[in-house]
Amino acid sequence: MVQSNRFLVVDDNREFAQDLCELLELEGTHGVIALDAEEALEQLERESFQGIFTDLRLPGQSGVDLIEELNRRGLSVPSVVMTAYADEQVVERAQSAGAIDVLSKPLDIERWLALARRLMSTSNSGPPNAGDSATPPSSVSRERL
Amino acid sequence: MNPQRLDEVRNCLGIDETTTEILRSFFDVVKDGIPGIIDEFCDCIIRDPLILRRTNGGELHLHCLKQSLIGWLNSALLGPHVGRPYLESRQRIGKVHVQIELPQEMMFTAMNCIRSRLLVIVLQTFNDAKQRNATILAVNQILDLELTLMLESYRDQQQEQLKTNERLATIGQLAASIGHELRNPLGTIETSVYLVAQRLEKLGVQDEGVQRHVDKARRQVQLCSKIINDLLELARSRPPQLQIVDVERVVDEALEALGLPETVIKRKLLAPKLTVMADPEQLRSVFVNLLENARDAIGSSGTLEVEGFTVKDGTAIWIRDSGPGIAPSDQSRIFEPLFTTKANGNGLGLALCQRIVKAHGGTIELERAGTGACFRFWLPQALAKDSEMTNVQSA
Repeated sequence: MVQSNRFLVVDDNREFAQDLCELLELEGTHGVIALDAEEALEQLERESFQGIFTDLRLPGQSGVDLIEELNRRGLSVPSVVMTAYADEQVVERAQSAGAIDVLSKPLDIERWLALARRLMSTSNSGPPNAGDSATPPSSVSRERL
Repeated sequence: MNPQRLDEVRNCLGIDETTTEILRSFFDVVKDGIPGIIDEFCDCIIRDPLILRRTNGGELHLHCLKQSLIGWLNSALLGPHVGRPYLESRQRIGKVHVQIELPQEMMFTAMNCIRSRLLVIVLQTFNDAKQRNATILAVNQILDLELTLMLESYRDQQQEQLKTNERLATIGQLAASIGHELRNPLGTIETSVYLVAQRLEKLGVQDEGVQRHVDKARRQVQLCSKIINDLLELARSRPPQLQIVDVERVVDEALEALGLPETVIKRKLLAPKLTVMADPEQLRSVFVNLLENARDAIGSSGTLEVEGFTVKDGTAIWIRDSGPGIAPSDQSRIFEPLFTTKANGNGLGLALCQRIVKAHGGTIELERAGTGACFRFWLPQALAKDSEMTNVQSA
């Protein structure tokens, strides 16, 4: 498996995923797009990413299913779930699966970038634990004015 | 009920012009004692916990209730007991009963209380048996008519409310579905606008107009997001997760979220540490919406006031502004979903506040509408004193 400093962006909305990759480029890294969980798993078998940003609702398996599958395969990659359908149940399930944060769409871009930077800076010292994010994992950035 | 049906009921009860004359004569006897009857009646029903919750406004609210009951009893005895005006005034009472969720059996309790009192006065006043019996009959007839009208209008209002609730539930589900779907394209717009700004900055483009439009676009995305959040919150009807909440902290968070400077806020949270049993996130939503409306009302100058203190069995909060107030024609509709008087309003804020406050077992009302609006809401306090605050969390 290739060691990588890239991020895996999993979202069936290609345009949105491309935007996230462009944001990562501004931060000096790169993103690889997967349009569903199956494609994501194929990528993860080939490359060891710094982190995963995954949409919750994907064709087929969900973003949380993906994280749970990674756990079963013993692939430990820091994962962030993004969703337009955030609620307490989603947050709880994502946290139980090991996601380090759940972000509500439309994204708070500064918060997303802060997470990406944090993952980049900690990638050499090992991945952060679930619940060890910059912001309390139970707070979903849903209320914006 | 229509006027024809009213005539049928009157005929059924045997109410005619003679009945009206007898009642008017009786009114002359009893009129000075009516306030006392209403006082006794209020003392009797106010002890009921359900009624108590509805009169949590304290003395002012109780005074208004008594005045309205005196007016009702006066008109019941004076008549005329015919025609649309009489019918409509009784239908309004039924509507209010449904709005405040008064249990139907309370109407029987109330009417029985007043009936007993009036009949005692008849027995004490009239020595002539014929006059006494005629007056007893007339009093029973009119109170039966009043009760019939109230029960019918109560039933009609309930049915109307059920239909409205079903309609709202359908709209809510549709709105929720649309809301979720809109979040994805909004997310793409947000990131693309951000990237445009970043790229322009990288190219060294220093154009104030560009930055202004980028900022405007991002603000509008955030506004759309708020509308969706409010719609989803309204549709979801999530039961409140109750805990002891520090009111001052929630107010601070709401003010920060709105970007309101301290200079426009006057606070009088009179209890040293005012607390309330509430869902912190939902309570913050109530403050955000009320303060946002107040902020929009005062424009660039003016003041807002937040006042709160512990009342019997709960906490009352007032939010006042020095704006232009609310037009009389709008006052009865302000809590309707999608009704708004603001050019950029979405008409969801007050509907959401009402839903949240009711879900907490509380009440919310527009207390004053001219020379600045004043909204008041009350939440029940199930637990002990402020000083025993535990597990306080911010919203």
